[in-house]
Amino acid sequence: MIKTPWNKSRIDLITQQRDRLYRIAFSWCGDAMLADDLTQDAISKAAEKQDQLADLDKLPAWIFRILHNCWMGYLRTHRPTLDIDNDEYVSEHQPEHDISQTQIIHGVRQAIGKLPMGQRQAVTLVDLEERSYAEVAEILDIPIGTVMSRLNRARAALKSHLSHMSASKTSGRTQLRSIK
Amino acid sequence: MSTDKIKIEELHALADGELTPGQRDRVLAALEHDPESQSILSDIRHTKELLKHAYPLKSLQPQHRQNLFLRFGQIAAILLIMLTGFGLGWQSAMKSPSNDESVASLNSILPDAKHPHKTIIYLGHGDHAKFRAALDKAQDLLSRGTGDDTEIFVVASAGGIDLMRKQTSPYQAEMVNLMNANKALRFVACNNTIYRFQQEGKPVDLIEGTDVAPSAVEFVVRHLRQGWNYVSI
Repeated sequence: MIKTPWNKSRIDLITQQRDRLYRIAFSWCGDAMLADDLTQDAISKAAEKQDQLADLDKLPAWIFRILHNCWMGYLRTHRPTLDIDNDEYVSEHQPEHDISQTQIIHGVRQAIGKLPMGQRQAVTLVDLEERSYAEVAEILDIPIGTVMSRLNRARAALKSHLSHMSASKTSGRTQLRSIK
Repeated sequence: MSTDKIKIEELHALADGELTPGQRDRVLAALEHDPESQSILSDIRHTKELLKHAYPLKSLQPQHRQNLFLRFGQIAAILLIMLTGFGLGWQSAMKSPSNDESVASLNSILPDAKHPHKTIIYLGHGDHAKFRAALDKAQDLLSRGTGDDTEIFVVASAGGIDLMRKQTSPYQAEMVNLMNANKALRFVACNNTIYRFQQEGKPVDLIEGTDVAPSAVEFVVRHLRQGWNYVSI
């Protein structure tokens, strides 16, 4: 059987996903170096398997599934050892109304890091990547109902964590909303 | 208060754009009379905003790695060159790029090697003249190597794997002698190619001492990241 020739446009399309892959990888593992390795691993595997992708419209879901498999492979061999407490923001006694963007970013990342992995993957794929429930189900190889329940639980947990942060360090939701 | 109570799943689906137009209209209508659901929906949207704010698409890449590893454009270019070789190796009707072109392309994208005595010789074509050239290049590099840090890997995929198959290699005895005489020399076959050969009914019995890498692409890219030299035959 004649194989489809490798072509530059496909390699370009795959490598163009790098920033998005990195963002999701980072949100899953919480470690910049590891996220970089996972991203490179996923792109390398995607380039190698590019002829398996019949429909280019499905490239994002396909490549995130590869990333998911890379991440699962890593967890299987290394076990999760990430200590999100190392990333904890140290308060410098700022006034309650003067919460910085850095505090918010660290707070959200800590909250994400505290989620069970399945919930973390579902909520980041939906909220950051804006993947549909069906795509997330395909990427994570789980039923759509499981995607929805994980999403529900993840957001409830995030609300709890972030409300705590908001209550202790800000005067309310309005300030958080204003920072974009 | 609406009697048509909104389910929490519907609020998530509304925020995520997962409802059909009909479902959306019904939920929105019900929301007008349901302040509790309005509050939940607001929280969901608020959380989504916070996540996007905490994980911006740009500026997350660790900058200090740029000096250690190839940038992605470089890796993509290497992959393209290698994968083009793979594709060409499977289609004899197509002409392959010359060695000079491949090497020239890589020379323009690779950073300076950190390990001048460590070299990958990549072979992706089942051409006996190229087999000879790969072995000659390996011997030449070994003769110029100094100290214990010299390492030469001849990596083969696609048609190049024939150099390492007992069934097809014209240089089996020479390769065994070379490996016995030089611990710094290794022959590495791509397992993906071996699998494809077997799927096509071509037996692959590798010359004794030949190593197998799961993927030639990954193997080469990994070593390039570590600062090895690269020569395409």
